[in-house]
Amino acid sequence: MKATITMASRSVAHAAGMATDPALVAHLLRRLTFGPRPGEIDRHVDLEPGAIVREILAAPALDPEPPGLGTGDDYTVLLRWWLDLLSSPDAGFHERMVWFWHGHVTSSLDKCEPLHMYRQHRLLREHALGNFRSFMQAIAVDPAMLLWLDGAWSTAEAPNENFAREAMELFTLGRGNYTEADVRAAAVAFSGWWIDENGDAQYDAGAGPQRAVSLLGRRVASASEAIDVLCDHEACAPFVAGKLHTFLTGTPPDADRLGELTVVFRDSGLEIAPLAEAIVTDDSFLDRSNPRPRTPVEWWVAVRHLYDTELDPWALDRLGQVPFSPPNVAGWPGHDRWISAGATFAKAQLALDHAWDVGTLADADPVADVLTRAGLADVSDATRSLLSSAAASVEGRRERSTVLHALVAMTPELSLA
Amino acid sequence: MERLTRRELLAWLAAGTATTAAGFTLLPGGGDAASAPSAGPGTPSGGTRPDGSSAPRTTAAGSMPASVTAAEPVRAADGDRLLVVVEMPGGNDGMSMVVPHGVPGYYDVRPQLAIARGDVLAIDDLVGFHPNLAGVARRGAAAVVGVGSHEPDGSHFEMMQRWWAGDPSAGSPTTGWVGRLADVLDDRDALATAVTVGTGSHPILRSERAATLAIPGADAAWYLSGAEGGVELAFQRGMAALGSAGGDGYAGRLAATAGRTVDLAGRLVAGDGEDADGYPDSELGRSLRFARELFTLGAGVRVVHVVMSGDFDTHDGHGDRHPALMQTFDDAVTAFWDDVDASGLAGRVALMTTSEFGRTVHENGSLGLDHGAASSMLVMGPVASGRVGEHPSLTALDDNDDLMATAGLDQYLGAMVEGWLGVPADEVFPSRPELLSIPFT
Repeated sequence: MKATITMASRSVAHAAGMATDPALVAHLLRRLTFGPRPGEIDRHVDLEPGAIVREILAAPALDPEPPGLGTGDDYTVLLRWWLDLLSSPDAGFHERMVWFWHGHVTSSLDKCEPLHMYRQHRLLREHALGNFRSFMQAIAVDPAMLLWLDGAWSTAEAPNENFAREAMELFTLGRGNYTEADVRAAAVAFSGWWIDENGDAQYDAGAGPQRAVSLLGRRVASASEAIDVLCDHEACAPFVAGKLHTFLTGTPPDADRLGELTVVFRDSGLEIAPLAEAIVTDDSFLDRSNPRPRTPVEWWVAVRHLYDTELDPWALDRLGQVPFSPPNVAGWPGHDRWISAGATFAKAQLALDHAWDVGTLADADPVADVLTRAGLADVSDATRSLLSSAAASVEGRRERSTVLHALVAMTPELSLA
Repeated sequence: MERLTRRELLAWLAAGTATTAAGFTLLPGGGDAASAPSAGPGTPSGGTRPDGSSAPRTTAAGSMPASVTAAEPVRAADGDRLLVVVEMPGGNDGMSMVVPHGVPGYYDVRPQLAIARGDVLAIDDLVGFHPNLAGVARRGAAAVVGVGSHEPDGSHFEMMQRWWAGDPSAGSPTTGWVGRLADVLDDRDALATAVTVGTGSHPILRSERAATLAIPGADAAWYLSGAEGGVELAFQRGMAALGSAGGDGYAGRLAATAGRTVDLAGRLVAGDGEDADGYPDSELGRSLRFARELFTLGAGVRVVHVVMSGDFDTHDGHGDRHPALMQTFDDAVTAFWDDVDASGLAGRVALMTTSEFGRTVHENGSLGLDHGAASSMLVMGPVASGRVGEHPSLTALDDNDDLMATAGLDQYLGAMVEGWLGVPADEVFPSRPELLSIPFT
């Protein structure tokens, strides 16, 4: 039986000694995990906000069994495998960071096999809260990345510039911090790698750099030395810190805040965990006055929790965001991108296609029940009113449950985090 | 075989049969009849899911009544000129699309990847179409050469931003050129003046005031309009209420977008049932078919922006990948022009191509071409076939060994805005470009 904390019962809840507004609990769970899952708000309301954040940060990472690749359509197997993890009751902050890195150091099934993508995914899991430099060292010679950005079979004599440019522009430094000559030099330093028949990266010294080249003012003669130069560069720490702040809070940091975070990240030797902790334990993280649009994957997971049923994973293609298939090397664009007529069409389709699979709602107050299942502790009067009208306009318990679930899935509130 | 109605097809697609081996659903582009195997109307549910399991389920569409009453399609206002923008993402090698077969040096700089002179569909002594653009050559197209920026950048994202903004220099305006064009057209009654075919709101559409939309195709409309009762009607009424709910910030924008989407869905449902066959089974074919539908919807749509799904970023294997992309383009636009003629829109539609940059003049070691600078574009419609502009030298290159642009991208976009749509380019492009002369007939 699901306990219910609704708007109506909240004052009662406070009187009972709850420490945190359920709406704030929901906000923290939305931003730090892929929740709130059914019942999850109730489990946290007795704690102060700071303690909730600490508890979420301290939760262990998922340690999943590998996907069953080779047993069917590997694309769907891999996709479903991660979506199941994202929807798991124990998917926490580590999982959220894995998702962040997948959109930062991208690769895609567009050019890589599912096995390559899974092996890269394991790297993301290993380094998600680890050391950024070690992470980049591993990514630079990761088979999926070598395939995705054409590093594989690139030779010093005729180097392919793709990875060299994107590693600086999108992974470590940002535009304006290097020249075209640096791109060419880095391309030489990253050359010499290829993929063998087992899908492993191999280095061919004859094809790699034969002499040191000048990259950002330092001499480098290997991929590893080039990564060190990028990670040592003064633009690296603020670039990564700013991007992670934007991901976790929905907005870029102002100059002062970015300065503080840069110091934290740099002083730790580019350790990711202290940077992430500095971002989410700041008081500003409790501000829920400026929600951002949920990404399609976040929305899909929220609907899966709401409906408590399997959903079509390929609906994410219509929604514009398929895990393991970012649209290009820059990952998925943010916020504004997810509000469109196209997204409304795609959401309506998913919301209705699965709406007959849901359980029935409490007869006494089906609107309150469905909002609780959705983890929505605070909705607008307009939303509440349209849900009540819909509930009153259909005959039958099952029909009422169906239309209420579908409409809650379409509310602005469920599309925001 | 009885032809599937769109609604039946939708039910069939929704049952999960629309996934290709590569894992991309066919529906986003419109899921037209061409993409459906010969399943009869009697097999709408119980398809095989992508994972192979049999998963019969009741869909909203499947539970609707089976018959469709198609309304007469509404025509756009007479006389309005219309524009389709086809973007080739990744950086299209202009020298492989509009081949500079007579420009000195071409066969020296491209020892492996040049198109043999005898295969080029010549436009004049200097340039000609790629051999896979036979349909384009037959219809006629202006080949606009040397378009780019005088301060080029090697980043996809930087150059895409500049193209979308319509400004060749860095620090571009924050609105998109199509969005600003829609602002100047200032059609207050339009449901959407400009549309991107896709699911995300696109930077090229960003406007100050005008209504612009991103939509994937017509089929999805049945979820939001046309129900006659039951849960579906309650859902659609709820969506309409949501659309008029208002609100601040992103919540308000989500609500407003829902409202416009419901309205548009109503028009798409009313206009459904038109025949438009002959399109190839490609994403671009479905998108162009949808573009033509949008033009005859009576929703005030003047500009449709389509992003090709192919990857023009041919760092390797250019000689195999690029010809396939040209063929895809040729097949789709050939069908599009036939459809335009059949729909009574002949003489009112122009189509232009864009791409963030061309590719390197010289080949790399992967039989590919890296990020370059200036490139060539095509303009089709009521236009005289021929070359527009001066082709960049292939021997005097810039500091990065790239082609030097002979025209800024704003000079090209401005020529379309002013020369075709009759909107003063200076009102859309802050750079006040000197316009290329594109010979519209």
